[in-house]
Amino acid sequence: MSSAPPDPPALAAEMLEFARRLSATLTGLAGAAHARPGCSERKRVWAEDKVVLYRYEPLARPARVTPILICYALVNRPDMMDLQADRSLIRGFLKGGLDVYLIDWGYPDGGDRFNDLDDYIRGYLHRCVQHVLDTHQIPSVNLLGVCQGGTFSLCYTALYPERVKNLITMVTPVDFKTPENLLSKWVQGLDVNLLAQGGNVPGDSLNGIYLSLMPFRLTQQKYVDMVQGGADQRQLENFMRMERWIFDSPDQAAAALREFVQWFYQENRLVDGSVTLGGQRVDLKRIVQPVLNIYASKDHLVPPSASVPLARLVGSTDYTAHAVEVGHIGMYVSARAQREVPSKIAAWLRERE
Amino acid sequence: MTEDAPWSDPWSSTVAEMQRELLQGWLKMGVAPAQGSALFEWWPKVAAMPGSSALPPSFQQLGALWEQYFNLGRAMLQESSGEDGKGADLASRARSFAAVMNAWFEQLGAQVGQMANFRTAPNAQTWWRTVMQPSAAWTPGAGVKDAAPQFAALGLTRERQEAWQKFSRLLAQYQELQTQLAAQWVKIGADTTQKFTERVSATDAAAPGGATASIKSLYDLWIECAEEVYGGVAHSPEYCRLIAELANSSNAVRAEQQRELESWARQFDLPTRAEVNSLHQQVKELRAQLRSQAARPPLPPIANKKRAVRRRPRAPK
Repeated sequence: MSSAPPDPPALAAEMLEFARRLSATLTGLAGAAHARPGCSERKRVWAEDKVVLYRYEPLARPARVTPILICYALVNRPDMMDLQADRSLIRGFLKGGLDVYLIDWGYPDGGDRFNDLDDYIRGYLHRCVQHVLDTHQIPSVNLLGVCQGGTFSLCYTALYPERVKNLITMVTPVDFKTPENLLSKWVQGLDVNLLAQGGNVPGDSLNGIYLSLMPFRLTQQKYVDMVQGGADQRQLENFMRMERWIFDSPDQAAAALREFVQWFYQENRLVDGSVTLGGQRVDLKRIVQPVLNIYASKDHLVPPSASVPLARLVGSTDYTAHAVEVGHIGMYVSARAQREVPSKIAAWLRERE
Repeated sequence: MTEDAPWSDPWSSTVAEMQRELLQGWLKMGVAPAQGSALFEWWPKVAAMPGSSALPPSFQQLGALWEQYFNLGRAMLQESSGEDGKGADLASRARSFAAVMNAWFEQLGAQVGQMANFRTAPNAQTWWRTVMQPSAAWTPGAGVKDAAPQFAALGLTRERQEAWQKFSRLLAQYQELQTQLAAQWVKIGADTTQKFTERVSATDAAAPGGATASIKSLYDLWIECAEEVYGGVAHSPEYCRLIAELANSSNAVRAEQQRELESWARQFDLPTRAEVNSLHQQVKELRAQLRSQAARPPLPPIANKKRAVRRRPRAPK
């Protein structure tokens, strides 16, 4: 077998260009180190322990839509919803005239190790909802749950259906035992009691696991591509914001993580309706309000097969599924998601106001 | 130097100077292409500069990655210019590229294999010796660090012997699992090499020069092959079981280390994790009680009044 070998001068030119870009990138990165996620103005309106509820400043005339409360995941920070001006779902909502609230779960420490799912869902989340209801003198709020926060929102809505006007879930796992779900396969044999016995689980450990789902792309190719992308300062700042967000991972409260892994990943309780919080069974059939389920068709963390089954599990007759051709992270920051998602949600809510 | 510190000027100017040398080397290639391999020494030279060691850790970590990229470029140039006398055969070239990537893969495998672990046990053997040696010196009788794990623990230091035996057993299990994981990664490396070689040949047969048209396209192809092979292994029941067992084993080793530290803390009358946990739980229960009382509807006013009437006034303190 033979083939034309690559042209040596062309290879050398490519390498020279790579070296040039590498040198410029290294210099540029130092200038981009200041870049941090978060761009929209907001006010802290409620707090308890380490949990803070923010309300965003409006950017457009109010759309006369019930306020929307965003319940993000415990893993990673909610900054991803508002990364930078041109990559911010929250900004998209604000431009659509929505009144936006966001729960920031904070950084749990050793004092929070016994916080369980009940504390998060019937405790903090419930009181955030209550604050919004009291502030606006309304009986129910629009709830947007993201990723793990979507799972929390499903539980909450099933327990307190009268407090949720419309439910939106985004990249939310529901069926945790589908063939594509590598993370689920890995944790099936995990001794969760032993894990929790050691205290809170470090955010870095979770990051290691996420990276090892696609190790070559996420720990190697990504940084070669960064160099190939050139030393455009704006691009490097974007890269640094993402990098900060990815590795800014709060530790996970031991009790909550144990329950989440055991109940959802190992026992798939959301599907068979056996989750119990505060003595009450979480029955998804009690979710009868309109539901919009947005999932990413190329998601490797929450595969579509984990989200799609929601359709048959909720009691709502007004159920809409919407797939976006992006990956998990792309749902927050890709140009496609920026174009599609905020406008889709705003329009969907307006139709149901 | 922190991540936020400004780029050091001497380092930066030296890099710029090396860039100029690099450009001159490239210009010379028009005359003698084989001399071009010197271009690929650029990154190792940069990484070896005295100032580089003071750069952020991220630079040190990523440096190995970029150096590998340069190595692949060097291999491609050598193959294409026939330095090793095997320039024309595609399969041979593909194997040569795979060998370069595989060398890197072996280094990478050890790190990536650790990533899926939920808690990496600290350097347990060293740690245990550090803790146990002074501890043994305090304790009458034999040094417990030397207690053989297979014998029943007896005598005054029985508890400590048993703790050591358990720790030794857990550590051996952990190391055995690490060995199994390493074996999986050797297989992933070998399969990636094979897949990569086949894919280079197939791609090139379909479109001559397609796979080896550029260093980047070859690199991306290797990454693609590695992810495909890894994906197949990572989903396998054997690998999933291994990852879970490794995590459990690591947590068990850590739990024993924690138990030993707790024992030390008690000897110095320092607060232990168990005590702090107990306090946390009490606080949590108290808060729950307060909440439930606050949520209760208040007693009817008449009942409050009656109770207030019956109460005797307290004597001042």
